[in-house]
This record gives sequence, structure tokens and C-alpha cells, in this order.
Amino acid sequence: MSKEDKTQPPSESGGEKSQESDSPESQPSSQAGESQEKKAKSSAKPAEAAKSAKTAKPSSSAAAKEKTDKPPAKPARPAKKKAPTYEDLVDDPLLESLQKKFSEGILSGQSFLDQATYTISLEVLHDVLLHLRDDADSDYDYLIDLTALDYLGDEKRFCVVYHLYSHQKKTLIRLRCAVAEGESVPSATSVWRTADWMEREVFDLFGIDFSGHPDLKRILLPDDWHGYPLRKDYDIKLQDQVWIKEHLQIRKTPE
Amino acid sequence: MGLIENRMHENIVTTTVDSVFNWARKSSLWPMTFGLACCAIEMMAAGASRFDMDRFGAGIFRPSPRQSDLIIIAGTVTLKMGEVIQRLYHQMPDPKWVISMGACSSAGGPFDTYSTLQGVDKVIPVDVYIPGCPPRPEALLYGLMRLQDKIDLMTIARTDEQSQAS
Repeated sequence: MSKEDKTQPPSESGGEKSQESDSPESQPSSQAGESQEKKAKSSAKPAEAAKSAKTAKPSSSAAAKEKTDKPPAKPARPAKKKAPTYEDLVDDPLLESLQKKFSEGILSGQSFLDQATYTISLEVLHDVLLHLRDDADSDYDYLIDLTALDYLGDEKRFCVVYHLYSHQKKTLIRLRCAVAEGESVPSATSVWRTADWMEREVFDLFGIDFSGHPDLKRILLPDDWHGYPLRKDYDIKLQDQVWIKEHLQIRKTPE
Repeated sequence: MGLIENRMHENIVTTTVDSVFNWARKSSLWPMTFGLACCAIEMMAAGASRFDMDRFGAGIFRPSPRQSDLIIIAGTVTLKMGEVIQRLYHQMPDPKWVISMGACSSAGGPFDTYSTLQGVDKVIPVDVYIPGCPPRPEALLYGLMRLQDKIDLMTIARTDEQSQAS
């Protein structure tokens, strides 16, 4: 008992600010709860035990009243952070080495929240991928994701995106490559086998052709589906009525 | 009952053929093991010990459509899956029933898109619709009980409609 008495005051004063106001009441209440404490956890740390006794038994109504009178002050809102923007990469060794090797083929290097993005022209894409995988300095051995975007109305409509990861360096980069409609992208399956299904998915939903792919066919939608649903000019609610007519016996809605 | 009252020995029960058939059918439903999305998780919970669908005689999920008389469409039905559901439904022996579980299978749910069937009743007839996203197991059990009520109204006698059709 004497041990607890000693330990209570420091734990009170050291507690949160909102609890400071009811420190006079808290002592009797905690004493009342002592029998409970002893039952519950005699071996627990004193500061913890005092706290649990307080929460378990708010015996004095005065303490409760005071709590309701004084709502704890809201913490001030953190100042708004500036929205992150794309910035040109400065002194980036990878960008420099790529530019040295491929010169015109590397269009730009940008960073967004410390994540590097390199824009590459279609002509050198395959060589850049091979270089990034095999070159000892870059060593990007893992293709995390391969996807595409549709910028309808642009001169080069699509943008194929590669996410590469280096297990050696533990770094992640993005590659972007603009592709016009009808152009075919050299397949990355010979570089990373993972690209196989990812390219099939891009083909399925965007209709981008990958030359050199071993088995380029639809992966999610039915084989005989018409159209490419993730293109911007494909209505979001549009369903392939030809396919439906062929494969589903749609019932007449019951009256 | 006046005609046959007190005319038989004890322990002989008289009833109608319909009520015997309906009682047997509603008390031993055999749902098919078929789940499509998160609703299927709730369906599994309904089948497990806490909610225990077996209390209603429908707790054993059969792995084949040919052994089941109830299909619970639990989840989003894509157009590609609609074709499969139609085939599975036709493989089930009569009499058979369909429960549409959740917003997706009843009306497409939030997926008003290129790939999603806007209601499974577009491809197969549905007996009971259960709202919810996903419905809790209690809701599924309630839907099952409503289906049992519906089965109770069935008759093996040929109705006028059927005789006209045949």
C-alpha cells in the first residue's frame, strides 16, 4: 500500500494534460480502487495499476462532472503540406548513365516524392530494359508491374508504364513510354518472364500490341469479346451486346 | 376430418401428399458450393458452427450441381460467369431454387460496368432476393426461411397453367 501511495503522485503529474485538473479527486478514487487492484494485478507496474484503478472505478461523481465540464482541447491541425509535384531529376547517376548510352532515346527524368520516373522513346525501349536488367550499376532484376494509360486526344495516345525493382540496390523506378495507336511495343517477356500475363492484360483492356509476345491473347475478358474496355472512348457502361446475344440467354423481365 | 375420425388405429397420422412433399423438400435443401465474392465469405460463416445453417437442414454444400437443389448466388456476377451460372442451373435436377444473395447478384450492386451482369435474374429465375452488401449470415438464414415458406406453398398437383402449357 505504501508503495502505491508513493508512486501515484508522480504518475499523476506526469500524465496527460487533460487529467491534471482532477488530480485532487483522483487520489481518493484510486485508494478506493486499491482493493480491486490487489485482486487484479498485484505484480503489475505501479504506474499502470494506478491508471487502471482510475479508469476502472470512477467512484466520485465530482470527478466525472469535472470531466464533462472541460472537454479536452483539440490538438491544433498540422499545417497543410504543399502538394508534391514533379521535379526534374538533378545529379541522378542512372539518368546520366542512360543518357550517355542512349542519348536521344531518353526523353526526360523526373522525380515525384523521391520516386524516379524516366520517359523513354519507343525506339530504344527494349534496349533500355535489357540494359537496366543486365548492367551491374542498375541491376533491375524484378518487373513489379507493367500497365498502360490512355491519353485520348494526344498525338501518341497510349503510355506504357514499367515499374522496376532492384533487389540488390532496393530501389524502385518507373519507366514511361508513349505509344501511338496502332504502334506495337517490343515485348518484355524475353527480359522478364513476368511480363507475359501483364502484357496480355494490357492487350486485353487497352488493345496495345506487343511484338514478340509468345501468346498474345485476352486474359480476363472472353476471347471473342469486342473492344477494349479501358480505353477512354469505350463507354464505362457499354457491354458487348454481340457477345451477350451469342453466349447468354437473357430472360425476359418478369411482369 | 369428420369422415375418418376415430376410424384408424393409434399412431396412424393422416396428412396431404403436398405437405409431406413440401416438408421433405424444405427440410433438406442441398445448396451448391458456389461463391463469387465477399458474400461467399458470409455464406461460409452462415454454414459454420456459429450460425449453423444445418439447423434448417441446408448446411451441407454439395460439390456438384447434379446433387443440389439450391444455388445461392453469392457475389458479383460477371458476364463471363453468367454463362457458367446458366449452365450450372440447367445441370441441377428439378425441383430447384435460387437465392440471390447481396446487392451485386440482385442488381449489379455498385458495378454498373462493362463486365458485370446487372442482376442474376437476367439469366436464371430467382426465388428469394437478399439485400445487403454483404448480407450478414442472419440475413441469409432469414432468406432461407422465406424460401422454406415458399416451398411450403408448392403443390404436386397439376395447375391450370401447367396443363395449358403441356
